[in-house]
Amino acid sequence: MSLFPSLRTCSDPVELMRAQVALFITFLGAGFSIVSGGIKLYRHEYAAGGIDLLTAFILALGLVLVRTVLDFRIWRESGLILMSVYFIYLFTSPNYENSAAFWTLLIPLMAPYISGLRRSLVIIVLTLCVVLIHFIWISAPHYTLVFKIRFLAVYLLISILAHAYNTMQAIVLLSLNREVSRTKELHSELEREKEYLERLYQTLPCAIISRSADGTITRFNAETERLTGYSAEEVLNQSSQPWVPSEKSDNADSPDDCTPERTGSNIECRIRRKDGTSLDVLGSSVPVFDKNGTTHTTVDLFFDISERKRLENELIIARTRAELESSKALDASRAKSVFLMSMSHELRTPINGIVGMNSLLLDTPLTREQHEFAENIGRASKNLLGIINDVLDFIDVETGSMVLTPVPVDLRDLIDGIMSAAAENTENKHLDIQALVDASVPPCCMADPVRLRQIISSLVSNAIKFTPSGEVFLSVRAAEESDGNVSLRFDIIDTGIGIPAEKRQMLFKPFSQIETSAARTHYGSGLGLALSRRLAELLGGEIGVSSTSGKGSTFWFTIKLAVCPPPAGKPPLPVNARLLQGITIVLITPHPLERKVLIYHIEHAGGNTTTFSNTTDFIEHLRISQTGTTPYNAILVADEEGKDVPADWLLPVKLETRLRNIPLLLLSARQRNTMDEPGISTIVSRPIRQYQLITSILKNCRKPEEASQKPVVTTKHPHAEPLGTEDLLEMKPLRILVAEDNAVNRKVVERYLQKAGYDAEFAKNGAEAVAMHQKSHYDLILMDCLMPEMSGYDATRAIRYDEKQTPPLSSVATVICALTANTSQEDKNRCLECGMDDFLNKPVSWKNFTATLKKWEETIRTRKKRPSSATEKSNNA
Amino acid sequence: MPKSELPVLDLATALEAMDNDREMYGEILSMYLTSTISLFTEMETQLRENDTDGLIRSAHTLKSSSRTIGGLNLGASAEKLEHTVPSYSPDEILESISSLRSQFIKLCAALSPEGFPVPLQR
Repeated sequence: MSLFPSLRTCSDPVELMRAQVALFITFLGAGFSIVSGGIKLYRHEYAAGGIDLLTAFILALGLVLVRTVLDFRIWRESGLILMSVYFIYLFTSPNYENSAAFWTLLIPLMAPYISGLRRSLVIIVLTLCVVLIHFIWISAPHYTLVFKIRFLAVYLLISILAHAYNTMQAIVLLSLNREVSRTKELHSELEREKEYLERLYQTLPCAIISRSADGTITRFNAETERLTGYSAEEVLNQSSQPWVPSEKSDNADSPDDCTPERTGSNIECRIRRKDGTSLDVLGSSVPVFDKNGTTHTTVDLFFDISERKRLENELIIARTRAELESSKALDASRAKSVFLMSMSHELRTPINGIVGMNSLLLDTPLTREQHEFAENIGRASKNLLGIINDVLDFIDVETGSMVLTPVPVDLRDLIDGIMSAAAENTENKHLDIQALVDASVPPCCMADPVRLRQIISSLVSNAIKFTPSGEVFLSVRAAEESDGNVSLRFDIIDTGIGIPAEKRQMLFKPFSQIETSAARTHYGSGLGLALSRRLAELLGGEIGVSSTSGKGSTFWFTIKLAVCPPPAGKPPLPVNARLLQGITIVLITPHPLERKVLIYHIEHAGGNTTTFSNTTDFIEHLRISQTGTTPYNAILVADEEGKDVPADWLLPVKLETRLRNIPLLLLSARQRNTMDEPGISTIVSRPIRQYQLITSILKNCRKPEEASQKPVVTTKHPHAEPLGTEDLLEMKPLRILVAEDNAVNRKVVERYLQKAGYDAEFAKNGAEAVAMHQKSHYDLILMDCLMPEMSGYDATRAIRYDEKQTPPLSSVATVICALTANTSQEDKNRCLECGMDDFLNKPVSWKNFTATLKKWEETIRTRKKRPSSATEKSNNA
Repeated sequence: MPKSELPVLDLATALEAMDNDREMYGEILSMYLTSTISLFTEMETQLRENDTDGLIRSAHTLKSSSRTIGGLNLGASAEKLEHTVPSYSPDEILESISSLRSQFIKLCAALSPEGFPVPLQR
């Protein structure tokens, strides 16, 4: 049988051409269908089936058109060609579904040879066969019932349509097959994804339990089995979770129990395993919602954290143990401090008794040997008391019970006091002890004077202790100043034995001594520096040392203080005023440090200096210069240790005629009275005090212009200072004598005078006062009335008598003011009758004292300006 | 105010007299305490030696210095002794000195809470 009978039997050329065109169109449609289907298949597009249906529709339309227009026979050839092409496609495709399509294609091919009812039956039977084959082959679980029904319905529909239009059926089946093929691909892909997820689910190191909305456990992975001890079979489809403890643990420290209600963030909880043991886990529950937003399933996740919890517990135990140990140590330390404090208090009481009794003993008649013993006892007791006080202070700082009391402090005043006390305690060493407060240091700061004095005194006395000879120098300067606060640096520099480098680090440790041998030469508690360090830290600073063994040390410390205005009633010292402008001072001192300090103070006050090491050099200098007049306004000479005044070293200065009218100031550490030193205008005490130095120079020297313009007023008084101008007169202090036998009252008057800025001399009874008055003139005498040997009344009478009998030493009479506890008018009259001018009631108050002093000072100065009338008035009185 | 009602210590008045200068007061108090202890010994010696003038002077000193530091009661008792020494028997004087001593101790005790500890001065 010929493959193409219709074409071969066709004799009409027009019909033949039509048949060839139809064949060509069929070829074209089939090729397009295969190619487009192949592309879609290659792209794994699920929706390809839809597009293939469209393709099929176009092809079918084309073929129906051909069949209608052309002859039925031509369709038959076309179908054969189509089948041939499709066979090729079948053999090259591995998809089993295509076999079904092959069988289906047989139906229309067979159809022209069967007719009538038989034809219909054959078609139905064959269709059913194909459907059955499809159901057998397409039996994978991923094909849902709906899909299968849909497939069957479409197939039947197409079969029925194919019954009428055989061609279309074949092509539509081809497309359906392709859709089935795509679904199969998708199915494989889903299978792979599912397998991967399952593997992941089972191997994750985390327990994963899926629960349905009603709480039934639907999934359960291998890690859950490991952690809970339950197998999947035991718990799947169960609504309870046997690992969740039914009751909350009594142990407050245990983690929260895991409950199904806990969702969201991670919580630490404890589960109960199948074997009864507990396991610490970190768990969370995650709800999974469906597309409507309702909870579809809940996934519980657990991680095993038992190892972490074990380490945490160990850490807590270790920390608790350490805290306990630390607390025990602290308690022990506190107990030790309290014990030391009470012990020190207990020790201090009897030592105070020893010190007090010993001072009383020293006042009783003793042999020389007994006196020496008693003095040794006194020294030792005071040392011991000092050590105990150090211990007490140290404990106060250590226990935090030391409270600072800041008050306005004049640092220059404070340092003057410290250096004076230190100079008295140099253990007979020939040391040059000096202090220099830089001009940058403010006049007044808020500080605790007791504690500040404690640090400075400790460091200065240490420097003195370890300096056999040379210098001890305290320097104070402002390091920085900001926002009303100033940072001060104190340097205590000595030329002592120094400290070896290896021993410097233990200096500031409590109870440490550099010398530890039994044969050590310096004693102490070893607390001084440690205490100084703590105090400096308490004052907001730090402390340190630099030293060269054998050459000396420099101890330094810094503190931060608030700058404040000086307290009312106490004007600041005029440290920054150029009071000595135009004045030239000759400085004669062999000590370089002393010279440096003197030059600083004088030049800072605007004065000029010329320095010499000794008086011989100075006289030699004068001899060489050979000038008639000298350009000097004052000479300041430092006394030499071991040499008395007047002595050979001072005599040349006194004898030099060119220096006769120039005031001579003596710088001396010893207590001297100017009355005992002829030719000396005033004594300037050592160590140098800035304020005293400047005021002494001011009070005693003449400015050059004044010397040239006005003649010097000379008096009969051998020590009277040359008076040139009223200004200098104003500066000249009142000479005051206090006659008082009572030590307490004497002290009161002395302190009042000091506070008011006056110097005074003291007599212990009336007789002494009279004798002193005979030697020297006093502007004012404060006279106690009841005194031993000679009462104040008798002493006043004697003084007034002297004034009448002998020419007065001064141009004006002495003012005598009674100090009396008797306030009756009778007593006052008695005072006036014996020649007194005024009276002050005892106890003397500061207010009355200053008012009286001011009143009489003005009177005395007025009288001095009008000497003759005043003298007359006084004499008449 | 009768003398018996005088306060043992009137610190406020004493401080006011000294321009409220506590430092100065402390300094003077220190001297007062030291000198008064030896003053009692001196008075006993004066009594033994029948030194009436000396006793009057010592009582005067005690009166004056006690009032200075605010010991009004002690000051009044000392004044009383100052005026009655010539008329008192030695036993009466000894008793007065003993009484002054105990008042002095009371004064010391009153100073401690005011921030002036006696005799434990640091």
